Amino acid sequence: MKDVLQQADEIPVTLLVTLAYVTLAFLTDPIAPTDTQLHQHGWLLATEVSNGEPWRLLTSAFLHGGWMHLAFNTYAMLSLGPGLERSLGSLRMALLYIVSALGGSIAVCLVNAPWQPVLGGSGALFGMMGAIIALQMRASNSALGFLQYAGARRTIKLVALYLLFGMLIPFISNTAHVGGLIAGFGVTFLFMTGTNSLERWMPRWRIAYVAMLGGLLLHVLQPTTRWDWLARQSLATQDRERSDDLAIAAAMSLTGKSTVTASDLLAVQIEMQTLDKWLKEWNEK
Amino acid sequence: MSKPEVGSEHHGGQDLQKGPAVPLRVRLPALIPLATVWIVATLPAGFFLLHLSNPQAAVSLSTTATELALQALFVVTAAVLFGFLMYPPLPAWVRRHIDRTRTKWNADRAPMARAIAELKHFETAQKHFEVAKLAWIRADYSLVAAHAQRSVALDSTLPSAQYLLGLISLETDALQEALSAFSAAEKLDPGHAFGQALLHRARVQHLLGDQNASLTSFEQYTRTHGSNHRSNYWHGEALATAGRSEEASMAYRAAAADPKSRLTAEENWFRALARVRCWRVDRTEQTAGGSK
Repeated sequence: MKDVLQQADEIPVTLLVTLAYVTLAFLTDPIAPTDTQLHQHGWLLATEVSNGEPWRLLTSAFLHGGWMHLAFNTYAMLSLGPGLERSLGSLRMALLYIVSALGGSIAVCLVNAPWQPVLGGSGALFGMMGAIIALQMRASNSALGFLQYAGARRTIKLVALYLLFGMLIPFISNTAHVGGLIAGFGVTFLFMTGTNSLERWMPRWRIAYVAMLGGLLLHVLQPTTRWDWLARQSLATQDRERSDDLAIAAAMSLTGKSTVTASDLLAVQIEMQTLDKWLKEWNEK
Repeated sequence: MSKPEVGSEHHGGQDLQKGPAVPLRVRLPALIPLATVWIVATLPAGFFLLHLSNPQAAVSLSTTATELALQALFVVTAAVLFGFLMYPPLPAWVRRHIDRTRTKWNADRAPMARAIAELKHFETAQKHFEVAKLAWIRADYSLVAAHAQRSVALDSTLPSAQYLLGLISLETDALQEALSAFSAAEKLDPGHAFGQALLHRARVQHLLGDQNASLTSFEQYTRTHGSNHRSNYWHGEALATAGRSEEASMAYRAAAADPKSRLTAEENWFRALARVRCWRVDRTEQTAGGSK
């Protein structure tokens, strides 16, 4: 088992992730992929994640929406990846990429509208930047000691600058960036660096971090307070009374009212029809 | 002076890594972020369980919680803005908190880790004091209490260890222990820590209700070391409790006086508290004047 892990730790993760970027780009269209192609290859859509397609949480982190998007993220991956992979090792690097991608996707599913598609590796790339900051913090003699070094300050400025770009440019999902950043920083700070007897708070925080990730993942997969999921559950349930309850809950969630009328129930149906129409179009073209 | 205990972290039947219990009030700032993470972690599971029995209640709870959270955010933001403008202790508290956090987060881990590692092989009162002092800077209060107590147990003639034990006892509301420790520090080294041991003894005597002894200690401190914003504020409180309102008012005014140079965050905190006391005194005097 140890040998297998040692061998696995030599797999070049940065190269594999970059290859996955390029392969998926050619499987869709590297220049200008269509919505249908991107949908079929796994872009992130909160409504579909909760409707039996959880793999979109990860596939969206390897998929890009055009050559510029691909070029930018590939450049970032090749700039950040090799150094980080040398510091962490391949297995940890793979775990970091997966957790950061998951963090970005979870944030998108929680914050964005359920029908808003998101794709790209930038959430995971922000997680890698968070990991660099975490490593620098842990290597320093004090929590803020790393700020004495120009390299660390540059990384923080870079993160702030990219987040600012994300706020200014409308089609960039800063939600995914922030989610990835927090997830990557957390997993590296808590799990990927050595600890000592002074840090008695560490086990408590590790458990809390895993519980938070698990809790939020549960809410993304079973969004019990989101109208589209409740409406689908209502349609799928055989029990008439339960189905009515779910339909009313869906209307309450959509309208924000505590008591709903027939027109609110109709509004849910219309919204669901629109949503299903889009999904059908993306699937059929 | 010291008895070496090789390869053990347990001294005198006490686990020094854990230390005695620290009150919740002291631990609260460190617990809030962790509690927030746990709330975020458990909310989805709570909603899921509620949904299984009553889906409408889950949605209703979620909507209400979101609305309340937004309203609370608005109210808190408005209150904070108002407080910053109208209530001096609030910005002073924020400045003091930032200052303490910066000191804590800039504290070097290595000397403390080294001192703890050395203690496993050779135990001395001075080494325990070093650990306690570094832990105090890092605000690790359970560690401070355990090592300060052990340091004093090994060598009760170390005034610095006695003073630190007094500080941690005061922080954890163990007032009798604090009084003994500050008195011992002052007795061993009169004027210890530029008179801070004496000043803190006066404060503890006031908190214990021994106003005469407290006022004597405050007067002794002022005579020997002069006064500052903190000493004037504490002195004012002792005078007010003793019923000497006019002298208390004067002490508060001295504590609230404009500083000649920029104050430290700690001194600024006591000046802010004193300013509020002065307002109250002025209002009481106005009311009394009006009723006459």
